Amino acid sequence: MVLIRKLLYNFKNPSIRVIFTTGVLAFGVLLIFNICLYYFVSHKVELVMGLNFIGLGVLGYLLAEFYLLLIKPLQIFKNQLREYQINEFTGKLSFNLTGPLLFLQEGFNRLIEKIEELMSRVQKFEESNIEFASLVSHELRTPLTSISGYAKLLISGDAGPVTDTQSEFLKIIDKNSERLTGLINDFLDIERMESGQVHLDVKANNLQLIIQDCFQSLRVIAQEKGLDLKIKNLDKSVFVVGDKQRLEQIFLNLLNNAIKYTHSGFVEVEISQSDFTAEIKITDSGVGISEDDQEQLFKKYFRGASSEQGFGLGLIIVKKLLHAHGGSILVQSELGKGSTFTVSLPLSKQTAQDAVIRGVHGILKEKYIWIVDSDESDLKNMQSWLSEASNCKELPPIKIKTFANISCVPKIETDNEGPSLLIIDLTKSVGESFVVSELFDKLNAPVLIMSANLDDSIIFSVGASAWLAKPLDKDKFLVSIKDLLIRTSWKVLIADSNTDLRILVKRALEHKGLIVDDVDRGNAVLNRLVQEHYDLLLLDLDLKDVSGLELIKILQRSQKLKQVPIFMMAMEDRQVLPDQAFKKLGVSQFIPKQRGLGFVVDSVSQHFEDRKIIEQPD
Amino acid sequence: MNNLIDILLAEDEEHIAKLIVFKLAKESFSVTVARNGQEAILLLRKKEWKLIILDVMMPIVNGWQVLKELRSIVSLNDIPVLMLSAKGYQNLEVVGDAEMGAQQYLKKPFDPEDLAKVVKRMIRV
Repeated sequence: MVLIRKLLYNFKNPSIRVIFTTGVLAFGVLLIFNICLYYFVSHKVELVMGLNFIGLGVLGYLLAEFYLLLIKPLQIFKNQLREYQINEFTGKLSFNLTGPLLFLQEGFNRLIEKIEELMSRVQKFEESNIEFASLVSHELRTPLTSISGYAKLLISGDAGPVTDTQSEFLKIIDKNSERLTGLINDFLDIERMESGQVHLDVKANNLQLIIQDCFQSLRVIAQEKGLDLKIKNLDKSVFVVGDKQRLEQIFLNLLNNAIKYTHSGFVEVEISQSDFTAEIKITDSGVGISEDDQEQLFKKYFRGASSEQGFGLGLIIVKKLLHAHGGSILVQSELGKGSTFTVSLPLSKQTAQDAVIRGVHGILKEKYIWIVDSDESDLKNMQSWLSEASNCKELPPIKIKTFANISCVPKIETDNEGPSLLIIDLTKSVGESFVVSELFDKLNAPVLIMSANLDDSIIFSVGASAWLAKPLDKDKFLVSIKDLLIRTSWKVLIADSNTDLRILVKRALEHKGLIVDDVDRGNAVLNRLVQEHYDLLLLDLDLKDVSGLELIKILQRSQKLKQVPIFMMAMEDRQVLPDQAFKKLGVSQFIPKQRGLGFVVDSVSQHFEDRKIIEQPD
Repeated sequence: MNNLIDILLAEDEEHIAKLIVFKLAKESFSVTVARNGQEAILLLRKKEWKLIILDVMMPIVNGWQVLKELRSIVSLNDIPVLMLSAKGYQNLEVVGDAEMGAQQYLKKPFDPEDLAKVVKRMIRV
């Protein structure tokens, strides 16, 4: 019974099944062969039996060969494939197979080579596409240079006097060649943006000034059409993050369209600001856009059915540029009633910081701070620093309670009893680590630890959010407090040697409500991570002083630093290891830089959404 | 005629070369035209050029190669160079290569008036 059950069980195994069916088939063939032989060889049983034995022997041998040569190696092959014993660097199979399966391995590896080759061909194709676009644009611009150059020369009168009518016609030639030039530039711009080759020179820009500059260059056209150009300003300046030229390009494009499609009435710009974003509304009393057209508006090569002139490529560029700036655009419109384009852009850091503090002021009544310190002069110092900062609006309103030592601190039973921040001196409390961690367990607030003699491993093992060495330094103290008190969300550290890129990502993430610090070298990463708590590290593969991989290996050695999730950023072709290997090193995700800013922001947002513990302001 | 300022222009497009020559002649410059980079290199030492204007895309030897050749000759190192190019994207193209020593870059299509202004500024007349 056991034997049969075992046999039945094994029968599920395909290779056993193959052997079994082959055996049964062979046996059947042998049987028929036997019967035929018996009749043909004039009923000589001994001879038939003898041949039978030889036949069985041959069959057994064949089956054994069959198993050893094909089935068994195939099983090994399958198992090894399943265990993913593929070379992490080349993606090839690297175990030694023999016999017919050698071909299988070779075939597999050839397939990998083929895929690699195809990938590089795709890449080359993309590159040559841009090369092609740039060549075409050169070919188009050369005759345009002659057309517009001679037209301008004639208009200027350098080549002799021209009549008014001649001059008017020449201006038409000039205007149209300029339009063509603009289209070629737009076309190239899009090609470039799509291949992620746009360089942004990022700074803080005064929005009002940018809009006014745009108005300046559009005033004449607007006046010719009898349109009213209006701007609704905020009292204060609004600063956004971005490339000035590109921002101007965005608004010039939108305002130009608004003027183009408005025949009477007005074009109005309204600027407003929320905690992290600036909102710019461009409203016109123009022809409006039908709902169908609205959907198509930002698609490539779309031209509104209702419009006399094409939208050209302008709106696609606007959208792509805004995306690169971490911004967005919305359209609301009704045919015959005008349109409103609403642009959002991230505010610049200074104003964003303002907003965070103001935001906290708005939501909060007061922050409670508990300070545990046996040194009276330190206590006094801290109290005066804190109230001073609070008075200067650098910090939200504060209420302070002081304790001379840990045993004086009341037991926290419910969530509402505790402080918003605990500052504690552990210099003399080394022996009381149990009391300390018990206190911390109940605490639902950040903890700042101060000490004259503890090393950081102990400090973080009790679960501090930040620490300061004694004697205290006023500035450092206030920075830490600010950091902990107005921390309203996740904290991210960006390490990238490219300043532009780093700042751009930083701004875009801040725009998402994250708190972001940036550094350019590996050393700084370590310093920051030791001193402060971060929820995510965005690490460039190629830092100035150390490779990202080396840095990760260092981080892996520390129990605490190991905990910080890492996103590795690099150019796609710099992905030196497959995803699998990155995962092993503790990298949660690999971000190819070619995918652009939007992708980085989306990945990071998604990551925190997955973690789902967003620390809201209390 | 001796007091005219000599400018060397390397431009393979006949019409564009003619346009530039015409405009700059109005401003009292004497422009010698080289039809390609090779011709330009041969002409480098022929006169005391006050300015050299190079089109980037030229057959045989392109503008950057001419510039490189020019910068390898110590005695000609101080001549200001204006590059013209129809390649590039908007106005954001990085202006030449600082190490190559191109001081100015003008994108095609250009307004002849702008060209004259740039040239005058570069020669400081």
